[in-house]
Amino acid sequence: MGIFRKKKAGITVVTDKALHFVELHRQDGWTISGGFALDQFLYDNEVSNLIPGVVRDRDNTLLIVPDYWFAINSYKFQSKRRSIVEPFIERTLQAEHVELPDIKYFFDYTFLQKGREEPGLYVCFMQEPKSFQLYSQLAKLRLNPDRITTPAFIWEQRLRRIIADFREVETGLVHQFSTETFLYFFSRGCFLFSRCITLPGSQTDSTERLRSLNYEVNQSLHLFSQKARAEIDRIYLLSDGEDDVQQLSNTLGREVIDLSPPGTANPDSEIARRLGPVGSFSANELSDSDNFFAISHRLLRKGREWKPIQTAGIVVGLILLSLMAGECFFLFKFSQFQEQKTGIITEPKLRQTLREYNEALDVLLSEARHPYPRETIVQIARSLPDNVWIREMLVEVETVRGVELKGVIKASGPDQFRDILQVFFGKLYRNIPGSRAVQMEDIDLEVIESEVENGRQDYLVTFRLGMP
Amino acid sequence: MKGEIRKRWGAISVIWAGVILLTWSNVNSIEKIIRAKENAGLLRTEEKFLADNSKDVSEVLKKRESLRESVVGLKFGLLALESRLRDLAEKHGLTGLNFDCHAGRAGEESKRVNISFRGSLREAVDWLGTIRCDYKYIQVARVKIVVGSPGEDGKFQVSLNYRYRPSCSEDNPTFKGSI
Repeated sequence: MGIFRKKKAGITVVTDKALHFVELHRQDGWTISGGFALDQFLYDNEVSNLIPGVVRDRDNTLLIVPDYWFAINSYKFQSKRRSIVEPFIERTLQAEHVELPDIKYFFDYTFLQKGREEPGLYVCFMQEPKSFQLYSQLAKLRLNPDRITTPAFIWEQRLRRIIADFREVETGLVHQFSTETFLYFFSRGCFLFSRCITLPGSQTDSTERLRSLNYEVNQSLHLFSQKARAEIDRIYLLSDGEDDVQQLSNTLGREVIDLSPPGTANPDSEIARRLGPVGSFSANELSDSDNFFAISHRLLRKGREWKPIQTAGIVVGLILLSLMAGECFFLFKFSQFQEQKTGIITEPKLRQTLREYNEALDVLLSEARHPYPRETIVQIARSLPDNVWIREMLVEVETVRGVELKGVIKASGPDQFRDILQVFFGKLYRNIPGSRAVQMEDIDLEVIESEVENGRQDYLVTFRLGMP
Repeated sequence: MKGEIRKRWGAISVIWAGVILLTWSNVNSIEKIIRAKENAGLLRTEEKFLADNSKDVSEVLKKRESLRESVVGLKFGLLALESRLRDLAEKHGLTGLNFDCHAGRAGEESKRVNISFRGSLREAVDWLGTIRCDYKYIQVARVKIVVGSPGEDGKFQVSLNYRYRPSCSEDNPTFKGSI
């Protein structure tokens, strides 16, 4: 029953050049259980042997990839029906990225409606060719993730919690590391774009670094105003330096709000170094329950949507199965008891006697229905008028039942002959019930020329009388 | 995830197939029990019927037995039949009795016998009546009467079915006691 077992959850973090398997712990901690150079993971055939056991035996809930692996597009779209929206996005993405056939499986969207503007779609999708290769490799190793996201989306979720009016304002975030600085821009609570800037090394003059940062931020603000058609309302800074906020405020010539200390940030600088911006998040923030934006393989998502139905099907099925099995057992026992009881009554002798009795009744009934020639002969004799005598008679009572008669009628003329014949048939029909009427054309008549006595002529009559 | 989904569908299919199978089996069992109950009721009725009507039942069985003559073999049966019919014809004043029959195959339970004789219609009718009453194992199938002129004796040709039950095979007769 492995399908019901809950495995330990883990995440996979991908930076520009490396891939790390990270285990999340209940106490809001995490450990890195293994890592590979990204190219080695993608192209080394032996990599499957190098995966640690703990990674193999876990649920790979989340894959965090660099921000630039994702792209965001907005489309004007009237309908909000899923059956229309999803094929539209699939078609559009495939048309825009012909070289990425799998792009149709990796997107997600939300509906946009800003004020009186036309309704639209906010579509996020994977655009980096490596991302598809990576997913395919993870799937091959049975490590494919349930969800895929980027640090920017996790930041979006965190800022939503920290800043009360995050959804109403245009926000920028500067996240400073020793050599790299990440710039994130959000338009009314939606991530718009991010940039990664490599600043001159720590030994360089801080003024020079600030100048570079100022330049990059200003460039990005310009880009933001083009993309969002709005100006940034607030800029937040997350940095280890004590005076960084003040210095950046002065350089930019506008207020910069200090976001540090983050409170939930992982203090382990080694992890932060290896995982980049992801190292700033807590295990709780990365857990499956946190509601940040992420995309899933379309087929997996469909599967997840079916999961409650499947669970209900399994539970109801199991309940029914146990009820039916119980009923089956009860019926089996009851049937056995019934058979024993009936077996006592069903004595072969009794059955035999009854069968013989039934057969005997059938035979006797058939015998009783069988006509007897004696009775037929007697009835014909009784039907004979005075002037008629029989020469030949054949009575058959087997397959073809009937009487063939050849008789002589003495009559003074045809009229009397007809009268006698009528009387004869009348009596025959009366005395032999069910006999079929004889048609005139079925009667053979013959005048016996030589036989004339007292002025009466002999007529030879031959006919067949059908019997029931 | 995909494998798990497939496994779940597999589990659902197996479970529901089991449910359907058990439902079908249970319906069958219930029908069987109902039939057995009806059968038991019927048997009880039949048992009671046999107990209450044992006399009538044995009478019916006896009557049925009388429709066939138990013979050691067909040839012996036919010989005895011819003898009996000759005696009966003589008793009824019929003359010139001719008995015609070919021995049939073993296993047949009815044999066609043709008889011809001369006599008056009344005598012949009486003879037929006696056969009907006293010789239940003889079934008259066909009677042909030819009368030359009024007052003359008629010529009768009668076809009979002689129904018998061999008590042992004719091909290898075994006699127990005296014939």
